[in-house]
Amino acid sequence: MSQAVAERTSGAAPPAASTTHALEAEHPHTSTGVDSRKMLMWAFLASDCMFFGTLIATYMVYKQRQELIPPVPREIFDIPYTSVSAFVLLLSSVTMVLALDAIQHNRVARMRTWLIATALLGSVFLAGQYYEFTSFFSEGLNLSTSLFGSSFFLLTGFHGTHVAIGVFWLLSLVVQSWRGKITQANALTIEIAGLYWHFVDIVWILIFTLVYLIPE
Amino acid sequence: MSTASHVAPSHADAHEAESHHPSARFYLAVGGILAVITAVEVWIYTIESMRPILAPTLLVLSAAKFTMVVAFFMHLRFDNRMLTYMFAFGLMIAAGVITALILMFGSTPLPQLTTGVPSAPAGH
Repeated sequence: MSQAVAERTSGAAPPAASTTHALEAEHPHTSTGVDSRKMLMWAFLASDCMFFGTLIATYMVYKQRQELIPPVPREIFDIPYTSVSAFVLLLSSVTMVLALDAIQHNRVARMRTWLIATALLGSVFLAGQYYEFTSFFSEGLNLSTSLFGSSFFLLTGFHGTHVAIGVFWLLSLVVQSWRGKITQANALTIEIAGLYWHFVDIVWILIFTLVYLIPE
Repeated sequence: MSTASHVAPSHADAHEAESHHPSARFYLAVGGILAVITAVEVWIYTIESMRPILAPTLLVLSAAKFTMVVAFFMHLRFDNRMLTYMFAFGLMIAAGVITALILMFGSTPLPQLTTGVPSAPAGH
């Protein structure tokens, strides 16, 4: 209990006074009843679905046509290794939603910890992807080796770019919270960043299944 | 779990629904279930006898994970229905693109792929 009190004093107004303001800030009077920034993020995520949909479709079509040009997916994919990456990204979604839960309860310090944990897990995922890419390069697979190589690197590379953008976004939120700009009143800022981060996670859920696990 | 089930998005307006996000314990429980499903996916992948039904099984498990993250971590279960419709619209178009491309090109042979020499157009 005392820890919670200490956290509340680290960057926000007292909870009783701020709760009303927080709810007012989170629920502005728009014609739709939804904050415009949140609406915009969902519209972006819907459009990003189409973007990744085309990349996944391209991979699914092309991977069936590269049997003459090694290396083929089954030869180079390291499923246990990629599974760990999938777990890491999944765990980062949990830490992200815990960050949101913390700021909604006016626990700024705890939110900051979870945000840093999320950014770290995202960085671990990126490091893993870098290692995977370099090992594939050393085994002779690159962007121009085959249709499989082109579509694989394009798909996973764009996903990695999304993760990298998310990591920078999270770190910027950490810096903002240190400056006292993230409080319970604008928890929506964390929620919107969380929406983006969880989207990155669900895209990897699909990529992990469709690209790595389902046999060619 | 009870924290999630007591909110029905159909009965409350957006403001009311958004103020009822689940507890941290609920999020941890969802995370645990997602981790277990991922472990099951990898385990199924290693079983040779599962090969004939591997793809549909993995797709179902993957869809379950996808739905749980969107519903609970992204709060679509508790948010304004319009956001669900908006996201579903994008998802449906993406699914349509994937299906259409696979149907159009998935089984079509790709001539001259390894030689790099384009084939002559028909009729010339």
